[in-house]
Amino acid sequence: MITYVSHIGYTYDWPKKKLSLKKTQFELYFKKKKLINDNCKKPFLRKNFKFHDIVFYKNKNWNFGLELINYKKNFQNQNVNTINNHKTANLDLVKINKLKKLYLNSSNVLSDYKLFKNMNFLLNIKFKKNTFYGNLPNFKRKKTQLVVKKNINKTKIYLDDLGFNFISFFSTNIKDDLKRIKKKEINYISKIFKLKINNNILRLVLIRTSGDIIIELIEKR
Amino acid sequence: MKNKIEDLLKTIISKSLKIPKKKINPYLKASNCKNWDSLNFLTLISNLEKKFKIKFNYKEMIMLDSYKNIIKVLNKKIKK
Repeated sequence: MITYVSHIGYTYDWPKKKLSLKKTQFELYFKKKKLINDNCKKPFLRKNFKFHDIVFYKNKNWNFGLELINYKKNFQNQNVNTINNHKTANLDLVKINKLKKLYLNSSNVLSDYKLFKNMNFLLNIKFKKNTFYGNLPNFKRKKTQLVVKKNINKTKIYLDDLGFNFISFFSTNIKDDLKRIKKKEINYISKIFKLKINNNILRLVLIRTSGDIIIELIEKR
Repeated sequence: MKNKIEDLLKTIISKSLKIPKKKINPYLKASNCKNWDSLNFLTLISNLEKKFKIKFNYKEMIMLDSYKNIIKVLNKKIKK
């Protein structure tokens, strides 16, 4: 069962630009350097990087996390997803401190709508003119809206593109959820892989929907 | 029986949310407990399901945001 949204993933070129947490409610949760890119991630990367660094922030306004990822040699492809309608290649934490809306792009909105509805990825989900939207489930019952729009550019997003690339949900049982997902139209599902972060052993899986949205499922062991 | 359930529940909450058992009282809520974050909440659900041999559905799960509500949901599930 999908429980809540865990975090959003954001690829960022941070060695060149230092982020200021002033005037924001972001606080550092943890940092990890030289995490090995599991082979299961390869189909989701433009280039086969061996390592990546991550910095994970929490924010009281958000009620879920922001994971900044650096693949060291990021391509300059900027994706089309936005946070608060803010183009995300140049990350400005002040502009996204109070989260209003997240925007993702899909090349197959109808199929993704059916998937999101069936999997409880969004609450009060509605479909309207090549767009669907709903509230991201979070356990403090704060309302953050996710809007999925038709991708006019038809650009395929990879994890090493600059910007907001994926959304991550907690699952109580990944295998059960994958059984349900496999019954829907899906582009690709990775193998389940393990990761140890902050003394937690996590099981992860990456999914590329038929509209090319990247979703991560996390199960804590 | 009721005391046994509450005692087991306190042990599970303490272990899952990493807080001392002494601090667990009927007023404990996600909103007033710093350790009650989404990752620890996932552990709490898994541990409750394992120890009480039950399965929560989505509607029940979103109710589990306070000590009092967990007791309510557990009592209903166990009676079944």
